[in-house]
Amino acid sequence: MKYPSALIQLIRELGKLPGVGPKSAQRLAFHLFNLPEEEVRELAQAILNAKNSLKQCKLCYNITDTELCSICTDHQRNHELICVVEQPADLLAIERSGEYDGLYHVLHGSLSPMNGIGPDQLTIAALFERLQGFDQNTGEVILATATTVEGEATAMYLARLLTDIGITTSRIAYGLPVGGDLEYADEVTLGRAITNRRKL
Amino acid sequence: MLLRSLSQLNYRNLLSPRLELAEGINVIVGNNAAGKSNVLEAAYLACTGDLPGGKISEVLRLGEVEGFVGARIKRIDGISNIDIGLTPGKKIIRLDGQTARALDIAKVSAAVLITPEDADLIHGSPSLRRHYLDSLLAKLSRRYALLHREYNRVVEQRNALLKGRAGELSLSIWSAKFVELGNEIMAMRLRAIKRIAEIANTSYAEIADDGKCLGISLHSGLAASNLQEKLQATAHEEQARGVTVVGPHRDDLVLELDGYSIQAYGSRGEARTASLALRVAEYRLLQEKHRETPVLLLDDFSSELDANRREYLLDLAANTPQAVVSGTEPPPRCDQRFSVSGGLVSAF
Repeated sequence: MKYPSALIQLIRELGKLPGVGPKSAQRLAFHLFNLPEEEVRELAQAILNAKNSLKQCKLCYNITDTELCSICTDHQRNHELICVVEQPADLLAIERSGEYDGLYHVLHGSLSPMNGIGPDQLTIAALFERLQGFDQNTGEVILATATTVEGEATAMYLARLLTDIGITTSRIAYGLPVGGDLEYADEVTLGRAITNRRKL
Repeated sequence: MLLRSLSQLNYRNLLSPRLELAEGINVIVGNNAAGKSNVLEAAYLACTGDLPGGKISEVLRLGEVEGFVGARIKRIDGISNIDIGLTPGKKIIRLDGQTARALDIAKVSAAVLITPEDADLIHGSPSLRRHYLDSLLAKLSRRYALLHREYNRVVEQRNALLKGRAGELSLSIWSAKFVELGNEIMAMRLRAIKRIAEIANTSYAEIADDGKCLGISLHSGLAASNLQEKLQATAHEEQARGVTVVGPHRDDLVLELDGYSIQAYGSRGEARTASLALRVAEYRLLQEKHRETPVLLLDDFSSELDANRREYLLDLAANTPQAVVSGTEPPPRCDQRFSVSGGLVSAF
């Protein structure tokens, strides 16, 4: 027996979502079919609402439902500090630490020539536009891209450009996880932790 | 360490699902094309996660899409079970029931496979010698394995950039990363080659007894001393060809006898002896790392016609806690004997 076309279409659309394979798509489709109509309506509405009301912040490119995000408009925060991250999820992770009270800039990716992602595909031009009018003496840009090969290359690329225009630039430290045993750290992490040791 | 048992499913022509191996010399006797080499190849794959030279699709029984090899390894400090599921293009490794990577296997198990094809190490393409060096180093140092993977990724990214219209700045960023990782890899390779050369030279002298001195060194194409300069010297060529033309991924091992290249001037016999010396170095270095001897897998010893080398091989097998030896006839000493016929392995 062939599935009705409405079901096939639903499975196909669900299967396009990241992390959802054909089998999960099928399971989700049957689950949706068995839900009361009211709940399905709410889900559909939530998806549409999110799509219609969410956009990228004009300044930092974080996800927001207003013109400027709540971080960029918060006057309590230190506006002379900008932390550059790859994804909105990275921003949330840093926010959870509660250690940082500056602003952010979300690149929406990292340099990866293999995947056709160069500087123009990221929000790098917007970052430098933002930095005009930045006080060189007191301001600082923190590069918090991932420690993958691509994240490192992105950080180095930005560092070169930032140093050229005389802005203080730093890279988040890498090394051992807090509360971790040395013997369980992988060899490269441990090697870098030793190279980047600091004086007490 | 000891390979206690070897299991397989759909591996080439093998039919027996499980083989219990003894301490000492295990001998596998059979006619040509009976499946002797397949048993040793499966054992090597199960003990290391490494498939020597072949594609997975080629080791699956004809018409099958999935296969399996498994090993039960006994070390001084415990027993490990390695299961490797095989599908074309992919290995699914489990170590004691947990999903693992090939570099995790290197922590608990080690094996050295010596085959008649090893002479290709000398006369074959540079990629074979690089693979010898890289796979040995990855087993000795997890740090090397991780760095090497990162390095390959940077080379791929850099090549993608060279193929497109790359900005000056973008290229210099990837070049800087390339030089940084390349230098680390070169330093580790040079340290390892020094040890390999010492051991291989001693073994060569023991086997050949011709008074010649075996030298091993790393050859990196250009004369320039550091990677940064080499990159600058080849800037035009790499722009034209769209690939990174220098670096550890292009280096080669050079083997010399009394200063003359074996690759260019050596006889077939000298090449075989030199390749055997490389395997002995692999065996000794793994032994040093694990403080236990690796499982020794000796494929088709009977094809070795040179009396010195044959005697050396059998000596090596006799002086290791466990060896698996295959041949068309049994060697003089033998603790457990199997015969193979048409893929069926049976204890004698």
